[in-house]
Amino acid sequence: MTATFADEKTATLLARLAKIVGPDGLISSPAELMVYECDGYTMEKNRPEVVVFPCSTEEIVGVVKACNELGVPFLPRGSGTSLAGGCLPVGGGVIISLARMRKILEVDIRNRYALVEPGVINTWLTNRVKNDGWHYAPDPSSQGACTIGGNVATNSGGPHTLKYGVTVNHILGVELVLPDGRVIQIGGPVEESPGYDLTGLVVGSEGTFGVVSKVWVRLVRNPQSVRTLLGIFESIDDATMTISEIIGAGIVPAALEMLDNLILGAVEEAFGFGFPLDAGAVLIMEVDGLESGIDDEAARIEAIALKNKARKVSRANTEAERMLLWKSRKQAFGAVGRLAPSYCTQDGVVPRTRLPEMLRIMHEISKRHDIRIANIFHAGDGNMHPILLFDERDPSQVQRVMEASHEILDTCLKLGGSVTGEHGIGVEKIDFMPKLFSPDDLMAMTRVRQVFNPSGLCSPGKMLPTAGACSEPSSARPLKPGRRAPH
Amino acid sequence: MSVHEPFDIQGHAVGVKHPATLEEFGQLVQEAARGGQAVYPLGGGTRQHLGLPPVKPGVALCTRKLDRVIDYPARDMTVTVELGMTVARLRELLAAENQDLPIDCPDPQRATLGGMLATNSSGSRRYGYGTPRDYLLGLTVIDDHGRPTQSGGRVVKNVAGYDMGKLHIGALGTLGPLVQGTFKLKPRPEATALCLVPLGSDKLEAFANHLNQGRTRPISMDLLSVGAAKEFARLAGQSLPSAGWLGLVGFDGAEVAVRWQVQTLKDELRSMASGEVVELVSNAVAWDALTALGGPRGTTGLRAGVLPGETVALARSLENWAPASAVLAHLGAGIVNAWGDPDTAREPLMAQVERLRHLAQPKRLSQSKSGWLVVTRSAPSARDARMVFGPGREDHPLMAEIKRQLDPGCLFNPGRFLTDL
Repeated sequence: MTATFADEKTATLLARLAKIVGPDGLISSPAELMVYECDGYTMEKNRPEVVVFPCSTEEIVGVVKACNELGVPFLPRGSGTSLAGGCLPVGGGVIISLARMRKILEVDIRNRYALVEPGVINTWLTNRVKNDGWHYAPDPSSQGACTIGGNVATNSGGPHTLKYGVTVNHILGVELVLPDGRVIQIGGPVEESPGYDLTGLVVGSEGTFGVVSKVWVRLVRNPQSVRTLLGIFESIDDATMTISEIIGAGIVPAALEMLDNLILGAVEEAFGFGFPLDAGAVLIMEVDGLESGIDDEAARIEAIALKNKARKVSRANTEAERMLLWKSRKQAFGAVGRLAPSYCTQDGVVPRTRLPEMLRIMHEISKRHDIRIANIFHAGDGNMHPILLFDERDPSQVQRVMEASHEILDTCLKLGGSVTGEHGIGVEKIDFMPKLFSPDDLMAMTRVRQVFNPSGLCSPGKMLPTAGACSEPSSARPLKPGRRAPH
Repeated sequence: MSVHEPFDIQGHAVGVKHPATLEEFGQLVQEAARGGQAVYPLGGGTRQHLGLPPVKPGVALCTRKLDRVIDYPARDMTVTVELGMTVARLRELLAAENQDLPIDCPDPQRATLGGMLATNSSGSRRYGYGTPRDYLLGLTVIDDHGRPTQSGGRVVKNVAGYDMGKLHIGALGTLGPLVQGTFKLKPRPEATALCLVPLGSDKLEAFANHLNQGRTRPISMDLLSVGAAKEFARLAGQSLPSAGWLGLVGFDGAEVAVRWQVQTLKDELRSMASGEVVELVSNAVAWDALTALGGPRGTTGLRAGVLPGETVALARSLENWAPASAVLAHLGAGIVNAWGDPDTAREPLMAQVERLRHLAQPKRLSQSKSGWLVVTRSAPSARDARMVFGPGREDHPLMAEIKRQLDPGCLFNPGRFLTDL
């Protein structure tokens, strides 16, 4: 009887949704839904009942209202490049894919903003304004695939956030479809309207406050000049000391990225940049600003690197060389497949000065669990992305990867850092929240979520642990994440 | 803990207590809640003219004794401090490490960091450096049960949990007193410069447009009306090149880059300026004067926000809005500060404000691009939510609900912000 009831409910849901987005605006067959079982975090999976592809705010509203009436959980999704299970459909239900809302609605250079739909790919925006000499500053490594809406949900960073700030520093406002179907504008192109900074709160809320349907973003003028340097080091220690000293000298580079020996091999094989395969680590060091004075700054950085035993410091001499260097960095994750069949990327943060210590501990963790760990990260921010390499067909390796990941993140906390710098809590790190925050802290956050999402139907089981919450939703259960991959 | 003279908050004398620890602070909050009293968070008392007068008897809890440095790992370029510390004291500490928190705050010797955050203080350098929301990494507030609650952290990049700190910035203490915070820091620039550009009133728009596309990259670009320019000259101890509108353009960075920019600006604006473009000599004093200009002046103060491209038009409209009026406009941000001594016998302030508000919210602009105008300062008797903040916006009910969730008993600064906050 129960199965029949569930089938009927699903049939009703599909019929309702098809009326709103049209028969071509949704998918519901198990084979098609497989892609939507998880995001870039593949350790846990759960299948949604249906994925809808609205084309307008009105269609999002229709879908959200239908979900409310039928008591079905729903969650927004961009390109699914997030890495902590942020768009894992924990409670099943409806995934609202924003992939068809891809219009850049307005570009206003004089007033330094653009208005975009949430499904616009990050890099499209910069491509659109670059001939005017402007860009959109947050540049996650996945910027060729990830959406602005997804960036808003996770408050994404990227290599150049060291100087230019993360997503929240560049978002002026959003149009938000609240979980009950109301549409409101929060903030907007005019700065600082009176009242609480709800824009700042919504950015990074991981889709738990509703579905963002439009975004006003700040545009930034391109720097007049850029110098990109590549430092080759014998050891990770020398590279991290260089980072610490550059920051300590009062230089704010545009980017400061490190790749260790393991990842270098994979990247070199993939892109053939010419990295020396015997180097312990390399640093990509970039400064930008006015032409006047930039060579002095680059020279200071070079001197610091050489003082810290850099084998060699070279400059990207042409724009093409610079682009290839950045391609090697940003698409490094794609090259990891050459190292192992599966990998799990972590996102720990430590105070910059603790990086050498953290990397030494990570080496020990790697040895103890017999799991190879490649390192590529935003060194200037202290934001690391250790990549744990394994074979998902071996349950023992999966177990060891989980344990090693947790040890790495616990160490980050012990050193005064955080378990996520830019990927989000999602479902993956929910158990760490009580280690980061007291029950009172979590209660305050839960109270705020109640304001936006009182029914709990919007993206249940994310960000906040159920324990310690005052009035967790009942309709959104079960809140256990889905089955563990692989199966 | 000691009890001091009552403090005047917009015509209401409120008794002040000075807790010296977070525990004491919490106990006093609990005590007030039990006694049905309101809590009025108080820092240096320099910006209490903002918002509305108190509506409920209560106690002012002053943060000034909470002024300890909790952690200053200078090489990490972050600092964690108690927020009763004055802005000047923090600056002094940071200067010893050649670092800075580049947020402009008038009266820094008295203003506290908590007050700077609660009032979302900013000034000319916001164009180049941003506002408090770009620097606050972690925050501790006292909740309605007297418990310290925390969000964010102490590292420069962190997305764990909701960013509650953002809610408290500019909330005028209505969601709880701010007691401890972690800030991201910047290195102090090697050199700074501030250039005076005398402008004929027909060149203001061209000046603003030029700065947006010229070869230099200013950290500040301001426009001062005749009245504001005179006041600036007095505060900075400078003589002015002419008696018209004044452009002020700021630069910082490496010495060689600053020199190049000053010269380039002079070259680029030679034909546009009504006189010689001059670099101020003692520019530290001039920067302070420019920041001070954003403090309370005249009997009545206004602050408005529009799109950057609308700033000049609004500044011109406000130039003579009242006797002794003056205007300081931050061109890059679209923020206009105006002050003066309006004749309220001739026309009630409310009517004058409504008329001016239409300038910031012209009908031709869509709702989504609409500006705003608030009355930052006036005779307390004239202040109500409509007059001070203007009409409600569609996100205000959500804000009211946040207030109800975080402060259901309406303990903190009742009646002092937007309606229902």
